[in-house]
Amino acid sequence: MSDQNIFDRLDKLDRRIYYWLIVIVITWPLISPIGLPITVKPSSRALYDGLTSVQEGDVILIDIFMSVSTWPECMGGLVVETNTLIDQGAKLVYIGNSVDVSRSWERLKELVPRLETLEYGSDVVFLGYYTGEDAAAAQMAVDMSSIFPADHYGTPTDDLPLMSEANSATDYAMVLFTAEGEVKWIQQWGEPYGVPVAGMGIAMKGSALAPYLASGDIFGLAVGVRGAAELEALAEMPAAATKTMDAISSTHLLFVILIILANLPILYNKIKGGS
Amino acid sequence: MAYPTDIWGLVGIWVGAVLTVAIYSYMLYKENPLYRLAEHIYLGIAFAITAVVAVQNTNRIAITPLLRGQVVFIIPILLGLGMYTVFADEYRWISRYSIAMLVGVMIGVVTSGTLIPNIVNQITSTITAPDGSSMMDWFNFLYVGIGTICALSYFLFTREHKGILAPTARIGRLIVMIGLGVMFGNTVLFRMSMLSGRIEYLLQVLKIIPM
Repeated sequence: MSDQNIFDRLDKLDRRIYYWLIVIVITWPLISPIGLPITVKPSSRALYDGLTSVQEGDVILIDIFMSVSTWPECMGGLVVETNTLIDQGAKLVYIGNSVDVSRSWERLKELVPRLETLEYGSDVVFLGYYTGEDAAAAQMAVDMSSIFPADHYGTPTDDLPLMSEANSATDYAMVLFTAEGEVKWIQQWGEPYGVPVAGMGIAMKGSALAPYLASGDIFGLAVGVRGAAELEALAEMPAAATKTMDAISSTHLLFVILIILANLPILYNKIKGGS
Repeated sequence: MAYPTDIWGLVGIWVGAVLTVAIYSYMLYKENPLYRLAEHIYLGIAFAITAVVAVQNTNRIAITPLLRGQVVFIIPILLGLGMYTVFADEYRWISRYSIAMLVGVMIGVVTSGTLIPNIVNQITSTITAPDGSSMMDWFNFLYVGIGTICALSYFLFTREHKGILAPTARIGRLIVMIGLGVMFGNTVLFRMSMLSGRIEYLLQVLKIIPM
């Protein structure tokens, strides 16, 4: 034991200590926010600029592809999107490809109380869950009511004034995806009908979505909780994502330190001539 | 959302908190009874919700219109029911029609839409030089262009990686490693976001921060 140096001891440290360190580093900024600066990437700015360029009366389709577990990543951005579009006077049609989409819708209404002040059926509609990916999106592009004969609450879409004026892709000014599901909108709405597509991806999708941004298939993109925090900064409405970013940034700093610490023994041994 | 005051609301948030701790106990104490209990509850509830939503969805988009006289909806209902014949050896052949229809439609729909955005636009974007004079834009252009060619050469298995292919394949491997590193970093970011969400929830349940 006595001939063990600091690197050997670090190497043999119980991994649970690292996990607890991560928990502490995440928890602390949530209790006492640090207020680290948030720089805005051009892709997030492009998304926000797209939202603010929406004209009064434009109909926007919002695909809530996130499940409850993805709320910390994408709910903050969805709140900003919804608030901004309401400010612009847009009409909003929400759908979702996640089985718990109704929970996300209820949560969104809690976070954006203004949604309740809009006239349901004329200014906002929640059509609910759909399945079928590309096939469903392709069919929605020509006849929305064939995929959604009724909204989430069972009201026939024929009885919803908004749906009579927005029954096909050409009636929509924009499609916004949330978390995932971007490819079907690019393939079935963006390319064939020229409907602008943008949205928020979970952090894991960041590198997969980047090529679509570079090729112009999507005009804007906010990735992960950072993207949501960027949207909050642009809209000047700091909320959950901004606070979470403190925790995420602190944790990543810890990771960088841990990676350096983990590599030090290897470098030390190499310098000493060991394997 | 305000902190619940009714008994069922309180039970609900505390069950959520206990199950969160139970799931994360796996990292600290590996497979343990509390973790397994939470795991089974999670799977059971997830399947139950999926089943209920699927039934509600089928009722909403197919059965209700059918009962209102739109007889065309009998076709997807029969094709859907046909899927379940896969469980009966004698009638399994029926499921092939449903699966064939499903696969055929998906291939038809996806193929027509994928060509431009996923192939043509990606190639065009890769070979189009930036119109600005920004150094970063040019670096990105060269990195993506050279990186794409080198990464493709790494996956060229019909020729041995010798001669001209040796350096390109080596650079390609590095490019792929950088790409995978970025994906891994993003995955860690995603997991940390989820963890922060759960910790925030626990802090809210414990009334350390407002709900």
